[in-house]
Amino acid sequence: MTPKSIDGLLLKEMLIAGATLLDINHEEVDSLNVFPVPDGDTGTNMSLTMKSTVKDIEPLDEHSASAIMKVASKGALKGARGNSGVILSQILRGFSKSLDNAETIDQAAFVAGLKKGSETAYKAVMKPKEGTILTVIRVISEDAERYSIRHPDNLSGLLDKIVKSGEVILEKTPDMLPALKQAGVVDSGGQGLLYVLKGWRAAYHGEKIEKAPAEPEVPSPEEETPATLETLKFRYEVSYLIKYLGESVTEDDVNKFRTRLTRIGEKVSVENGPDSGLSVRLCTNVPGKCIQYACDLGEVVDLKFDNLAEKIRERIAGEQAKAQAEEQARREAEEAERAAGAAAQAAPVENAAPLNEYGFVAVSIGSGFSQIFTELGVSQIVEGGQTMNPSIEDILAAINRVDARNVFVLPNNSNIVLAATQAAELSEKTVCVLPTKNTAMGIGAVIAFEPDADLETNRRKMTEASENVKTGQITYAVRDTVFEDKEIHEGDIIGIHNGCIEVVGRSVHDIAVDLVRSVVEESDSLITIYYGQDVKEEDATALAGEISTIYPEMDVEVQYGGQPLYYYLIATE
Amino acid sequence: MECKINNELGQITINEEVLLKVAGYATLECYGIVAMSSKRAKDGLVEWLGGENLTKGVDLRVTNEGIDIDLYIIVEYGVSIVEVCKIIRSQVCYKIENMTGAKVRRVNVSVEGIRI
Repeated sequence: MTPKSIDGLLLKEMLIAGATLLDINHEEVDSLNVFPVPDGDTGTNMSLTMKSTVKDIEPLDEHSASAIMKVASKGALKGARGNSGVILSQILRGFSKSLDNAETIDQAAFVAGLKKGSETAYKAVMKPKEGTILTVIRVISEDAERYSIRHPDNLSGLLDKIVKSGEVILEKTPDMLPALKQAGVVDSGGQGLLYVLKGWRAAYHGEKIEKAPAEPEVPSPEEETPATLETLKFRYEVSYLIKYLGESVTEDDVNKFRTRLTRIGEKVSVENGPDSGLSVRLCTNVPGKCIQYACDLGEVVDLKFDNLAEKIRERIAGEQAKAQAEEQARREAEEAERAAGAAAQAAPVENAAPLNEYGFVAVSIGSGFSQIFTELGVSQIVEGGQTMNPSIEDILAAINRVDARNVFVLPNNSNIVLAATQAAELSEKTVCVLPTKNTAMGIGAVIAFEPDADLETNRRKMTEASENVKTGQITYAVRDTVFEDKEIHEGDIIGIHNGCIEVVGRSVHDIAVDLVRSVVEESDSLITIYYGQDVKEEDATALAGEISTIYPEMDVEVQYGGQPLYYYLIATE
Repeated sequence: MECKINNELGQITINEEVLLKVAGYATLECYGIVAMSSKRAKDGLVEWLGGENLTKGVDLRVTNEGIDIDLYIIVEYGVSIVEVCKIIRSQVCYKIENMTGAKVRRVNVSVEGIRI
């Protein structure tokens, strides 16, 4: 069942599938960014752009393809984030323009749409860099044009061709951009675009893209109404690879195989797997049959088998435990709030005034840091950091929630300072953004706060205090690369100071000690070690012990930061 | 005005022209920019510049706390202008700081025109 043209409803499915597939893979795309720290955000940016499109088209029940595309391109424009996001929005805009008022998209219109999308994307830049997402969309559209001349009546083939040509050109991007080659990756924006197109193809063939399970903040509709034992239709989830396909196996056979599977189960997904094999997944009550069918095509390997009913039973038990834990956490939070309220009251502020004089908003990631900030009197914490920058709206909302006339904002990341400044302009309160570049600087600033001093004095003192804090960070490389003539291998531990990779090695402990040596200056008197969620407390204490033997004249403190990705954040002042 | 950087080996002096070109080129590489606009745009004459003229839409001042850069740009209709400006700021800042070692304090972007 491959339709000859695409109508509004199918187009909507395709766009949603593209966004979902990109969302599932956004971390992989992020990791392709040309800097060996797991901080890149091309995938996140593109995924947020696509999500903004999906949000706009999801409620529509529209049969006209051009109408859907128009809304989608507006959504992408509104939600565009980062370079690749803006380019993606231009591609969709071009596609939409070429459709005009067409009810459906046939093969010719699809090719024209791709072409116009590529042209529009190119038009908005003076010096197009080859080896980027731009090259990928251009080559795809050219290949699509050539393919259509030879096969004018094969939309299904065209979609396959598009994905294939995208894969080919993506592999060539390192040859066009030296930075990619040096880092040993393909272009991240191009990879993101390819995921979107793969999603389109899958939806066109009627496949469903399942949302990644580990995403609690955006629950898919299925997760909102979880299956219960009564509603569970198919009990077993089966996935496997088919390798060594028989030589006589054609695309038709694969399609037939897919149809047979849909008869015996649901959530069927048959995709191209490694080594030109097939990757298969479905839910069924007759697992034996689906394996038998597969044996007709080739050899079955990597069989995975799950009983969903058993999982539901486990989940129900887990939820009950979680509900109890949440109830307890809520009670504790209430108590903490009451205590914080009491502390604010105790501050020498006019008690009659409904508002406090000063309040704080901090951007922070990691449970430990959030707790440290709360203990220091920061009333609003915005979740965010390197890989997930909060939006202006998030920060503005937090500012407005603070019960105070003057609000200090601690962005705690150089990428967030701008958003915080804009939020400050939008707020009606007197807002002062302190340019803290990391969490340790933020903590330094809050400690310097004096409730009696006026706004300007506080601003100056806190900024000074934060600038006195020097920090080093320890994380790991996500892939092989060369940075400033240092050869770095995937999994290596790297120590960063002032945005530069200072030390590279295999042991977190040794690197931490080396990094401290390069960060500490003679005038310093305090070293604070914030350890992340992946580090054990004993290890952190051992590290502190070693550092205090090297610097006997300094105080060494250990705090739990709970930050992801970074093993240690080391602050000296 | 040139930018001076001292290190333990001696002094590095970077001519303003160099900084202007780096900033101009970095801007033109950004997605969404179709041209630079002359600083004299307020005279009522918007010049459309490109190629070798790229230092013209750029203005900068060297201060003790770092360089302040003003950029006068023309964008393509239909792009998210806010997002493009954000990208320009980070790109220009990155390029200047990495190529010259000078510190950038501010990047002011002024959208002077739009190509429809």
